[in-house]
Amino acid sequence: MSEIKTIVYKTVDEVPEFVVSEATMLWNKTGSWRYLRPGYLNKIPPCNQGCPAGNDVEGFIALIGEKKYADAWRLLKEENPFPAVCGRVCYHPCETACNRGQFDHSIGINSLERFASDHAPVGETPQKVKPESGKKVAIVGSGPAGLTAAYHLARMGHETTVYEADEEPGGLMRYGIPEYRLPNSVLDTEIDAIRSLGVKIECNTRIGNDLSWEDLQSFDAIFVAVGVHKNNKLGIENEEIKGVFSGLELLGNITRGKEMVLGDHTVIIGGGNSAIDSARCALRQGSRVTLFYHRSRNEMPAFAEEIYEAEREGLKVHFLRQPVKILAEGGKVSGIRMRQTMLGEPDESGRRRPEPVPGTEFDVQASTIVTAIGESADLDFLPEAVKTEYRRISVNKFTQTSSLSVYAGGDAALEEHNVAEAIGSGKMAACAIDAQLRNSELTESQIIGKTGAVSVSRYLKHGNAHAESPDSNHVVEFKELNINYFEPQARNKAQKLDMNDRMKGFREINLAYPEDMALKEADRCFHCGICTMCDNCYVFCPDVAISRKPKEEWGYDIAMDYCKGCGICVYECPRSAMFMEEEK
Amino acid sequence: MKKVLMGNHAASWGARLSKVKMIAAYPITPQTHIVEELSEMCGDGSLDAKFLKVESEHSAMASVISSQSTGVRSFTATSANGLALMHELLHWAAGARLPIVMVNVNRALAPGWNIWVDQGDSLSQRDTGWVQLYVEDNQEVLDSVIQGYRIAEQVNLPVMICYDAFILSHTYEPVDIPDQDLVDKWLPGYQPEHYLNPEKPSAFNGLVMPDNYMEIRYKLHMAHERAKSVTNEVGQSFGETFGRYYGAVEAVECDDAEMVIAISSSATSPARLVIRELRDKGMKIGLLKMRMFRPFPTEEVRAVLKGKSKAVVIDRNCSWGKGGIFADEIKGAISNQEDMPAIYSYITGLGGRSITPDLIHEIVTEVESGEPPAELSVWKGLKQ
Amino acid sequence: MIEIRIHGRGGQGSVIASKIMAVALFSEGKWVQSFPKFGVERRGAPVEAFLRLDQDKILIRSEIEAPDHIVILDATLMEVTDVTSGLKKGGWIIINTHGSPEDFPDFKDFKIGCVDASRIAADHRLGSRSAPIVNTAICGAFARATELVGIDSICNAIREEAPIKPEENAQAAKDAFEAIHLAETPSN
Repeated sequence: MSEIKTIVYKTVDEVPEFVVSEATMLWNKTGSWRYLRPGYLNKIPPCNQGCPAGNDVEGFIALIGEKKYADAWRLLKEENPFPAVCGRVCYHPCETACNRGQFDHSIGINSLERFASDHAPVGETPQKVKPESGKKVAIVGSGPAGLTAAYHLARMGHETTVYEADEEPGGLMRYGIPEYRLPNSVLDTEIDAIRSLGVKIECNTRIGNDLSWEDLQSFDAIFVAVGVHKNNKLGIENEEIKGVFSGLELLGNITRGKEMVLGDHTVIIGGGNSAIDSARCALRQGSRVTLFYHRSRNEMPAFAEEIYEAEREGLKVHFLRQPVKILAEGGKVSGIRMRQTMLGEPDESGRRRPEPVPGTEFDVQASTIVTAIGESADLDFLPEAVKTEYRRISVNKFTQTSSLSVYAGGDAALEEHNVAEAIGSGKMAACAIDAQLRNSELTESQIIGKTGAVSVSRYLKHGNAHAESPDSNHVVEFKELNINYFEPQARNKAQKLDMNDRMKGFREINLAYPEDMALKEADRCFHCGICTMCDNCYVFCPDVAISRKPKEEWGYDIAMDYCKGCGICVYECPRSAMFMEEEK
Repeated sequence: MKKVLMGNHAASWGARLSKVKMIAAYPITPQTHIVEELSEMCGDGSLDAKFLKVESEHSAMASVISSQSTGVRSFTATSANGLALMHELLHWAAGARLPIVMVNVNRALAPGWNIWVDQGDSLSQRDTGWVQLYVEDNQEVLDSVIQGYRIAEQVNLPVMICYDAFILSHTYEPVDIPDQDLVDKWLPGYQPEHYLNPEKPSAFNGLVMPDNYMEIRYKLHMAHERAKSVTNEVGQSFGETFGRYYGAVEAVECDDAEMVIAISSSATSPARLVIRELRDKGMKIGLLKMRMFRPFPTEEVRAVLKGKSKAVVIDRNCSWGKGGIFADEIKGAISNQEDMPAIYSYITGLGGRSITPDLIHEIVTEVESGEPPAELSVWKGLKQ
Repeated sequence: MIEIRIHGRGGQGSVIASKIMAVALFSEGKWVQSFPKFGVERRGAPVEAFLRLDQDKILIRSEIEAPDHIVILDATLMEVTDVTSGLKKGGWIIINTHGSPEDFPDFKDFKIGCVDASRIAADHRLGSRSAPIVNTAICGAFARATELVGIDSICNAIREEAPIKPEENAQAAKDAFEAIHLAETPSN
């Protein structure tokens, strides 16, 4: 600064023609005025945290946007062996979390995942990511949790064997989700990829029956993911007679190809996804179907979209009705006696408890009754050392049970019963088991955001992913975006199978996005918290202190000699991929 | 290449031949064709320039100030209320000494709404520091845009080319479009002394304290003084290359004239007809075409008018509360001079009213009759 | 100097017609000046376009008050506009009509040329059958009646200026050139 000298013009001729500084202004290092410093930092998009399977949602959508469909699928496969399954059956909490939902409509993430999986390169299988460990892991149950754990453990170099009681692997993905939502061929492709990593799947092998718990003690770790198969009982008269099925029984029999004679009128009791799936299967068997649920539509746990589709297909739903007794004639079902309920105080689930209204009984004719009021796990094979509570295996957040080297996940250990949660728990188990067997570290910093799933890619990088800037695990909220840069744009809706075609059989109902629609939908993504090199910071910097990095590199450089710390770049960043911090 | 062009497209061609690199404009009747044509030229690649759509004339001027500041030859066009909206930034463009060229199609300012010719829009920007040229036909429109850049870049002043709404803007007549190669030789690329350059950053247009402000403004004024001779030199040089000569003013048959008609823009053409007819009848009459208004060509006007007995100034404009603007300026130029004519000031043709040869004849007859000039400008053509 | 006034309705292309004539005349070495009546054009409203031609540069810059000839693109205009206002005696009136010169007894001071330009335009699918674009056909009729400009120059100008269907437009002008009914002698 001391070099600056004041120029005094003595005559009119000396005064310059232009109002322009005599020398360059490079001497004026305006960076010295700065007390706040901007920086670039990718954060967590809410969809990534919202995905129970821990997918990099923003990342795969960005790749679709660049028409790199195979890369989008590869990125999904880093976290989740089942993108084709999830692209069809996931109830997509990521879309609920999507910030765009607060702007116009959330991104069609589920349909995009389906699109990416439809574009998987034929025959390609993800590679192993760690060398062989020489350790062996047993997995009990081949549902989404078990197979996900097997997939990641095999990729991490462990010899993995899956024991499955049923004839074929897949658990509820095969026996609980009808083909019109998830074709078996799609499931088989993704399971085959897991097998090709060297995972052994032993079917028709029930632990506690075909093999004992002790037989598993030769393994270095055990992951229990047996799911829930014991049908909860209504506890009313005639529940065991001919013509009464559980929901899982009905769905499983249809998958196994067993002939089901349902008669002219099927009554479904229950309000969950199994109840709705059972109803839609019964409709496809040509039966008239009525569903009774003891609370109102608001409390119904099935996915709203599935209820809507079932009603379009002809299901009649009656709310606030509970069964009193099953009516029998000649040793088989002839009907059901129902009564009205009213909602009382909330119960422990937070939903209002249904209370019977006396004197409102009425009889309904029925040829078949399907009870689908929930299932619980059959845990009799477990030793006492593995503690359970309310017929659920007790686990900590890293899926560890009370017994060393025994982990548990999926429906048998989780409160939430769905495919994505099960996949998330399988991943967590794989990381936890690998960490135990290799004596490496699994920490909360490997969890996406505050409430998300574990990220395998973060785990594989080891160490604390956010040690240097904890904000990088910050989940970007809608209010942090600069929405001036976004235009309203309607969500693209994938087509559904025509009603006439769908009732003829079990053809898949939800159709994929065509390519142009997928690109349009990907283009709607805000990329919350992730720099897309939109150039706003570069354009708006009043000091021209921001420059693009050399061509082959991603991002921008800030010339701190001249950055005044005005924060305009951070303000103008549409997606909160920058931050300001105090000068140290 | 000779083509039948409307005046507005002649302006577009002028910008194209000048190889402007940046155009920002907002459409307004009667200027719209200019920017339509330029956007098409940018679109089909025949003109390698950025075309910026803006939401107002204020933004258009702000944009060309910015682009010109980065050392890029820039162009815009407007009319009437659009020009008025630019007013604040017109001062900026001149004070920052940016050689922008702008076309203004002279149109009346509302209300009452009127889209026809009236010079009041640009004349009321007199003191913004812009060079102003008022041109007579479509050929001169094209030629003056090109000359505008030579003048502007020599003296570092913005130049406004003004012509009449509809009478030129919407009228087709033959125009010679010069070869690009020839124009390139005559008008080299713009190489500014100072421009915004991140490699060599300078501070522009900052605070000037009282101890230097007057000097800076004196330099602006002196640049205008230079612009007069530069305009004459550029017009001469243009003629040597393209065969069409121009200057700050044009004197027709003035040497031996006793009466001179001073007039500007497209109305010059019918006045030429009238001079011809009256000369044929033996009257000693001449014509002074006022091409340049700012800087005011004081010396040229004095030289032409010296020794004449009467000068008639026909104004298609009015300074409310004063009268014809060119008349007033000419009176100012010859005051304190000896042997100067009496000035007869006429206002006519406002808001699109025709200026016919008959009307000019009537004015000449009135002036010839021997009455001394009226104290105020005479409004000719009012409904009686 | 010769002055021509064209009467049409907004949207019929009167201004383009005057420009086509100007381009054609210019190609034959004339100085030309073509311009619309200065104002605001509205579709369907009566509009005028003007054309001047001369050997030398034209210095007059006002609207045409006393034309040598007039061209009428839409015969219904004669009911709402004094089309012959200022028209010099013995000048041509070229009318787009399916009638013939005898149908216009009021125009006894003038020479009359009648051409069914609407039909010709429709035959060439210019515009729609209900609203044919007649401005190119009428240029051919103008060339034949006034003999101011050759039909080839008109056709070349049309090819240069027509935004679409240049050949069809040029052929329409040729057809009108052939088809026009001329009444060369003013009845007065």
